[in-house]
Amino acid sequence: MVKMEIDNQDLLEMFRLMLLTRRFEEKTQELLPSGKLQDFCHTCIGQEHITVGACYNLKETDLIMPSLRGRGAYIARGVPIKTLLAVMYGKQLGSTMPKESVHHLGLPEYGILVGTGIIGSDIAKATGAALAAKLRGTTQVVLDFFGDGASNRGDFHESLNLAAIWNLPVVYICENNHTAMSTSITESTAVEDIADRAGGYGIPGVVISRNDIIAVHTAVQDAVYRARDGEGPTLIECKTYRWSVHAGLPSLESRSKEDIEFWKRKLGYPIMDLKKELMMRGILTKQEVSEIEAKIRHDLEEAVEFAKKSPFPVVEEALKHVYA
Amino acid sequence: MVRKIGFRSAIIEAIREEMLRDTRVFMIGEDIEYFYPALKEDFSERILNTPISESAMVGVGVGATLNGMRPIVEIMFSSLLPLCMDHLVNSARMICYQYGGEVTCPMVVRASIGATGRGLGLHHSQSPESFILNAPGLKIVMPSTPYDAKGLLKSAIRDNNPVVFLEHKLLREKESSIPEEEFIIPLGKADVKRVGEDVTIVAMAQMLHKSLEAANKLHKEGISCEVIDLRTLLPLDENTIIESVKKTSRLITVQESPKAYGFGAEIAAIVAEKALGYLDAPVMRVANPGTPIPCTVLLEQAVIPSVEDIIRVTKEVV
Repeated sequence: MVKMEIDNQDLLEMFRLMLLTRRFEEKTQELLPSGKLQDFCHTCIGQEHITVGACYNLKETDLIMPSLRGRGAYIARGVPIKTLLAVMYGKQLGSTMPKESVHHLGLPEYGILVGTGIIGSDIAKATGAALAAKLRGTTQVVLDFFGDGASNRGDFHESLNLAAIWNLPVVYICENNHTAMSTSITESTAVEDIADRAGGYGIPGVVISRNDIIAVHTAVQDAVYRARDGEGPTLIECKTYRWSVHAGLPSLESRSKEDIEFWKRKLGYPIMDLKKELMMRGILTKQEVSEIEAKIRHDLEEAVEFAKKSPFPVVEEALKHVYA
Repeated sequence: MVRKIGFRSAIIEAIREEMLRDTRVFMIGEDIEYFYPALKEDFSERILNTPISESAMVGVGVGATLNGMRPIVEIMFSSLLPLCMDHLVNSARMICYQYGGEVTCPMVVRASIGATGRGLGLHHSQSPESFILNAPGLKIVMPSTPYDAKGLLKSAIRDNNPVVFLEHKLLREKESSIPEEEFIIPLGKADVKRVGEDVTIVAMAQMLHKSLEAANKLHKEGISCEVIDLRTLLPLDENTIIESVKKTSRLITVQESPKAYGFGAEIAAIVAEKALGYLDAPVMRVANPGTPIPCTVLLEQAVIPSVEDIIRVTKEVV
């Protein structure tokens, strides 16, 4: 199989997707105090490059299992932002929409597997989807996203072991943002790199040490290439940092402003750094950035209107589909 | 043609037939390649050994359904089911609900239940159906005979809902006459295993056999028992129970699991709601008194309902 090389167009598109994700997350945080959202805001601000970079250029038949902070994955897979916002408003867009949180939404038409609110459990489900891919003889690869907190769940360890012994086409992507709600990784995890745990299961572990979308994309593409070629799973750890408060609730912020600034400087600014790089290479101008921003602003306003106007589900919906 | 086969053969026949019928069916479990060598030989990678990882096994099963497969997950002992509860309760049973009916979770989780009188101990002898009964979206099947086991397991594998299929260990000593030709038994339909007039006894699995034995003995004393085998706990065949109670006016439930909050309590509540006026006596529950299952056989048998317990309670209400 030939690996896809990224060109300037790809980089511009990744920039746009990250920016769209960022602005979407900012918008939901802005809307949260209005009380109109029927969901929390587990945003991926500062981590957009991981899901966008990983999902970019996947095949349509590939599957992804987003983490709690997976908005970029939904956006990179082509899910319209108006759909995501309408779900957050508790509106009915189709049979799936009203019952599951936007954070765990399963959307078969976009190859997105349904999650749960149980941190880490979805690692086993992603592994099962990869087993199905193998048994069915497809060339599908499954990308499984989760945070540093999830890597201490038993399902992480059981699943990586199963994927290793069965040689499954799955790429485990740990978004290590160094904090599980208020618990620092230094309190929860004794190893320096979660990727080191891959060695315990006989699979490759890779560390991406900066908020660098090109590095993430390249590492994931390498792992996807391996998986598709029948060489089994990979664990990729992306060092990153959550820039915003947990669940959109300032009362849950345990970290100091200085700490957050320290980590931003240390790991880099995923969107700004790419923007600088693209401008330096002469493939993006200030004018074009303004145009992209304006388009996103317009689309978001339209999405908010769409979400507000969409109908609520009928209450009878609550009783439906308990059984097939 | 009719053949006599045992419980284990019935289970294997059901799995084999369904795997031949549908290539999406596969099975994972601990030591299953050793326990089912013929299935392994015929179906190769569709029969897969797992390490001791019960939680992930069921999670993997759920994930496989999301990508078009129909897994059977064998959990050796039902005392291990608590390790799988997260995936059963938080994932499997909610898939259909989460997706608004667009996607379902066609998975069967098989597990052995029950005390054997051989001292298997606290962690290999439980009957855990009550743990999982309060999770709508799951189906729960507990067969009593090889015939039922085969027909019900085939239905469970074809069902688009997650089904927990509980197999009592002592049923491995039972035989049934089974037809050569294919048959299935629908989930959610009870079976009246003995017709009677004076009292309705509702039971399942090994307790069904004890109830039938009690009914035999009581018959000699002039008491006519109707014995209903629920076969499926979820969904529950309320109708068969209520129709029987309308006829007999007396109800006894028998279960190996602890009495409080067990399925006997639910059946008593349903009858109170829908057929109270027909009852001539209190509904009685014969059950484990509310203890773990001790290892020592003498103590084990003291907390498992006996034929004598069923006879004694029946005489109290007739």
